[in-house]
Amino acid sequence: MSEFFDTGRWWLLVRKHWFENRKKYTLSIITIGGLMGAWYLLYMLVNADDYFAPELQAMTYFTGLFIASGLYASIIFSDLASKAKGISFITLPASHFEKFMTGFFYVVVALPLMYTTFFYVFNTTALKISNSIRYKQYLSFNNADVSATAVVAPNGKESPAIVQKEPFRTAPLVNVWKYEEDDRYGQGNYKSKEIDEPNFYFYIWAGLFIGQAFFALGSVYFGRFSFVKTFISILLLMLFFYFLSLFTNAVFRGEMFSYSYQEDHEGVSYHLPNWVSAVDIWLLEFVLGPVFWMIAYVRLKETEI
Amino acid sequence: MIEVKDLHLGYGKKKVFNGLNLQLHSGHIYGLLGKNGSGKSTLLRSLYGLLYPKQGSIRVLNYKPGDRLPSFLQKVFMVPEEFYLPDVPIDELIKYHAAFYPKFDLATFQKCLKDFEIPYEQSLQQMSYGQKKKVLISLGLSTNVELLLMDEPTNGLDIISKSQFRKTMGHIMNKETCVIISTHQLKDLEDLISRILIIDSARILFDQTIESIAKRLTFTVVQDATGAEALYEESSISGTAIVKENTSGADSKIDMELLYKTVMHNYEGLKKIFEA
Repeated sequence: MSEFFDTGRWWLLVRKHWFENRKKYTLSIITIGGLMGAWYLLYMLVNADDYFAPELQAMTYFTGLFIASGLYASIIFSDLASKAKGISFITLPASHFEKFMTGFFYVVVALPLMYTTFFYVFNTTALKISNSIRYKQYLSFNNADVSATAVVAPNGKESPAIVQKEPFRTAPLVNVWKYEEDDRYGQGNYKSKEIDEPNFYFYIWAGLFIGQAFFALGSVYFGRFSFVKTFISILLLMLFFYFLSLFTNAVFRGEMFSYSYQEDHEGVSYHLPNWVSAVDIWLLEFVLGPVFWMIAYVRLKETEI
Repeated sequence: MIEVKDLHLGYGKKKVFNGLNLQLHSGHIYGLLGKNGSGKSTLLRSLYGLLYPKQGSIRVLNYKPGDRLPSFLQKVFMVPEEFYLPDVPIDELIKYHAAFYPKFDLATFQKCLKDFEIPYEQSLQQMSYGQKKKVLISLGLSTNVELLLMDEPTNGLDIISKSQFRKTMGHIMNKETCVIISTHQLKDLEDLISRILIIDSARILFDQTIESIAKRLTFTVVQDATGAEALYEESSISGTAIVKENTSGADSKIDMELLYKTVMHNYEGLKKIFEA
């Protein structure tokens, strides 16, 4: 049996984690459901005649997923902050890597999967309800519209009522893996259409992965109140880079995070090769997250209690 | 089984061990005694790989504990003073926790629980601290590990349970196992410990088997201790308890508390007797 990674032992860890935390998961799902329900209800009350645009659904989905992931990742290794729980965690006969991979699995795979399943079940139901309410409103509006009174223009001239019989628009269900521009104002059939651009949602998913890794790292480093502490750390990091950029701007008369520089007096512009920005984006997308996860793993191994 | 060489360990600037050397063997129940802050719990945690030595080496069962390899962790179990058990029914604890220990014996576990009067069907969520501790002790005893570390195991146990603990430990003990019990409750462990380790000022001050102590010391209560040449004496209502060199070869029951006080108050006198 491998001392580094054994599938059977890892699967046992995954099951153990589930059985010990299932109440927490159930409560979280109920809370998320309540919040999502409240948000949709509020939206329906305020915008009774509007429909749940895919962008709105996507915004709801990703906001919820970011918050849930951040909160969850920030507690995934927080047992280490408690002496009693930390001893139990470290001394359980499984390797560091198996314990780490269990946390990784729940944060990166299981939680988004559970959340997405829940979101689609909830969102589909909410869309059905919303569509049905809106359809009733549509029918009553169009019936009323036939006997609409003439519109009085500001100059006092009367013009006949304009009856616009638009087809009813059913709000489509969002695809959270593929960005599609909503054609709600177009003349087409009101279905979403794919746009000819890189998948915008891919960047959101990449950002989510980095965020999960950062909060998981925070759970190893900070232990107690790690969500708040990690959040403050992110703000401080952003502030640091902001001031660094101001400083470099002042010193070098250019922007640190810019790939081109315009020399005003001479009218010359300098450009960094395209591959520099390509490498930067690639690093952000594919390297930053794994690096944070790796640091979390090393810290997990080094932890003493 | 356990070999500690020149161990240096501390928390920040505070040094707990400054060159500790120690050898422990299987088939013994060691009583680890010492003042508060003397490093008893630190030693137990170091042996389990929860703390890394700053200098020196620790070998346990031919492993370096700090590597925390699964095969090492399967052979060691600890009942810490501050412990955690998940709020799950006992059968789930067995299914998902005990499953990590290949030598776990369900029959032993059930017997221990029965002895401690813990209903098997009860969930850990509904249990008191003492009951949970009994479950943890039962789990530890039934894993059949080679090294069992216990930090104040009788804290939080009622009087009957303490007695039951001694009985159960006596039944479970075998020649392949080494048990180290760190405690201040010396009376709880009388008749159980086979070897005594007293730790003080970052070193092992006293390390003797019960047989060796009984052979060299006598523990008696006398009405008049004048001229008794006691290594240590203590007055009580029933008379004066004295510890002195066993010159007659007669057996006397070891009083752990008195022995501990003798070591702490008259170490040099005691040393002469044991080195003779």
